[in-house]
Amino acid sequence: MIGTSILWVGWYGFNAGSAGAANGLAGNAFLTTTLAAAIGGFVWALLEFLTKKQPSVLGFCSGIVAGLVVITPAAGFVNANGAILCGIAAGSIPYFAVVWLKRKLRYDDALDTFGVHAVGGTVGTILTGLLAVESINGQAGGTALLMKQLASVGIVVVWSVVATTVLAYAIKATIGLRPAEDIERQGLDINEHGEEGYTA
Amino acid sequence: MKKNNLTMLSAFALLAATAGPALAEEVPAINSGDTAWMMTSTALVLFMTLPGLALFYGGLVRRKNVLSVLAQCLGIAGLATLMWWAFGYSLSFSGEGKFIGDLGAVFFKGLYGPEGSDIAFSSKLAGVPDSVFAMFQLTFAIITPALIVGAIAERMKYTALMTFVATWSGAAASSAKPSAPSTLPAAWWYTCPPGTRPWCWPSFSARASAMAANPCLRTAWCCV
Repeated sequence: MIGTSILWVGWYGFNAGSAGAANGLAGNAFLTTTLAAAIGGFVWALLEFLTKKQPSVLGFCSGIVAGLVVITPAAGFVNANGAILCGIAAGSIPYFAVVWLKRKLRYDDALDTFGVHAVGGTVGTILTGLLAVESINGQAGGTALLMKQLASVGIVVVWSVVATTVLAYAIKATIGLRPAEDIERQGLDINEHGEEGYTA
Repeated sequence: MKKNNLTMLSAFALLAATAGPALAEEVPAINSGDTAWMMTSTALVLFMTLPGLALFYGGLVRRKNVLSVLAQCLGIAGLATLMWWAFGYSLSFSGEGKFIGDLGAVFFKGLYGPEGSDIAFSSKLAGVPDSVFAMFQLTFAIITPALIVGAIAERMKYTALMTFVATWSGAAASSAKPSAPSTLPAAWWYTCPPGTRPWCWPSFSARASAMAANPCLRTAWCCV
């Protein structure tokens, strides 16, 4: 909860700062970031309420972060209405990735990095191609921009997966990636850092 | 007396009007509003990692691993900063190359401007000193690998993670030079506002590194 709130606040520097100046574009990014984060958290929790009868704090946090992730590619290109749509998409599409896709594919992701960040980032990149408004930053949404956005998603996926796989397996073969099983069971704090956060 | 003042004022105004453009050609003026906002943003983005991301991930793991997540975020912040000073900034923003920079600005060479001036001005950010621009981008270089922690939390040796970040960030810096939005990287450029482009990378890397670390739970769609 504290971490999520700090991320939200810091994200203003991330998105509005990326305008490179204190100008109208920065102001628009500030506005779209706020809208998408708030709506993302709300929609995620609403879906939890509708499907499980209980909106969780974790759900709000995940939805807020998803909203921030989705709006990041779009913040400098969409207007307020576009940001609302980004927020709704952020609260719903990564939600299904985390709840349904994760169970379906049975991948190991305790912190839902893939469901929130990879799925959310892809959704935001594609939505930028559809929802960009020319008066904001000289780019109009449409087929041409959408194609560029899809190409960029492809480049990012290929680069990330290839580079990471190569590096990770190189490290695995040399110094090893995972701690020994008993160390992992006992916890990394005491074994790798010689400290414990909670003793009681 | 009043008339004298007015005459003096108009004389100054005239002087300023003629001297202004000539001065502007020699030393570009700092835009204090833009610079102040970029320094604020730099602090905000660093705040996202320390302690934002550290607390966010730390709060999601079991109590026996909370400190390891904090140590991972702190370690990445230090390591990324060192690499950024040594060569990351140079490979990302120096030179004319489309995909990779050059070594012209290693160890922040040239950051303090050409001979005779105190400060260099980024050609990308008019009115903002290069020192601020370099620090703003550094905070992105920190949070990008720090995001990967989310996928390997509780599952990776500290030394292995640090080695991975050193090599991964090196590879990212040497292939991530922003270019004008007219060529192939245009797509990357449009993806995110300038500087935030590498945002989408860590999420997929996170997925792939988690799979490497965790062969028994590898997903069906990526059977490496």
